[in-house]
Amino acid sequence: MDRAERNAIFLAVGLLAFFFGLIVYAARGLKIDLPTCITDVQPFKTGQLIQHAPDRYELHVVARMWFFDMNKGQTYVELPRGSVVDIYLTSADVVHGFHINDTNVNLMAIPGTVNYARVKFDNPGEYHIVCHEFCGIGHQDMAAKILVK
Amino acid sequence: MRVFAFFLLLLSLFSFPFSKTAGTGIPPNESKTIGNKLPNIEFVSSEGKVIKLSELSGKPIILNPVYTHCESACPLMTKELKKVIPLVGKPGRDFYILSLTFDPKDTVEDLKRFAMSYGIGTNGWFIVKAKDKSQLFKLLDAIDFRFATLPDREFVHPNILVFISGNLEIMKYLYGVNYDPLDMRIALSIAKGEESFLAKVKPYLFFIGFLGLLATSVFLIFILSGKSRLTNTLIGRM
Repeated sequence: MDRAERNAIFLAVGLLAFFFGLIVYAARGLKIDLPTCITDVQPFKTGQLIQHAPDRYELHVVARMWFFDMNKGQTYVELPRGSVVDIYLTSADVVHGFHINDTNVNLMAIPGTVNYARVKFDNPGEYHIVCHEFCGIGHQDMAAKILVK
Repeated sequence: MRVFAFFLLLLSLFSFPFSKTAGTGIPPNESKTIGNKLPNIEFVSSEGKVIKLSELSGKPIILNPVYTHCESACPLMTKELKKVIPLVGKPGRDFYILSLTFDPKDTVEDLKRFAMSYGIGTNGWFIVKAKDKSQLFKLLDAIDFRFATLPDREFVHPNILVFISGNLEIMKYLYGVNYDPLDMRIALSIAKGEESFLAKVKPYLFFIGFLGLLATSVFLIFILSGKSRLTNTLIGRM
């Protein structure tokens, strides 16, 4: 075997092991949750914000051309500081993106399925949400907001 | 034909785990919860009594999250428990059972109705709700139980039994609505702290296998490269 070829194989195996190590570290060390796609429920039709406890919320978001239905047609919601929010996301038409700025929530809204992520808002402020999946002619105006007080 | 049959088999293998988890929402992440201690929260039982979790310590606890007006999985789980429990022991003497409602809106009246309709709620089988909402979510977070709200106060939720040790540590999960008496006995023995050797080494098996894979690939590269002294000696002797 050629020396260069051997080096390439070593490098490939080494990188694979390195990235695998990173995945294990992210899951165990940093306790990062991966978004979970729920494919076996009937997706909801309207957005709503449900409060279960003083600091526990469930946010159902319907992405559609070209706005996010966060709470009965509104494109923004208000939450108290320190809230833990279970975000469920679906799409009414085509594939949309859902990225909450300053958090690691980065989901895809896929028609027919529900995507899930949990986030805790520790700091007050405005959290902007953008659609980062090209979805048609009004894509650039598709945004929403979470106000944390 | 044989190839076709093989692919059909392969396809059925792939579809198996998905068909098994139909309609059960987000499963708990066991790797984050097993071994953790439960928060010492207060419950209100169907009889209206306040029970502190620490009052139940000393015996294993089988925790079954349900909601009282459920019409699909929770009745199935409760009926199945009622059938299987007599085969594995006596609640109150060998272990306790907690049917915990996770619906934050459930009242003691709902618990009473639930207990009455299944003829349970006595002798070491408690139908409980958390005393307040923040305590409820403390407990649900501890067992990593997540649910999604549907219209008409229905919920999507995983169907689980959580086995808790006498000193209130999370030991084992069982999934689904049907419970094998043997699985229940094994889970209870784990909750009692009688862990088998296989269960102890299980977390390390994957890493041993992974190390083996790495070592094998490095070794093969050495052999294939054909230039090292090791290759000459190995191949020469073979």
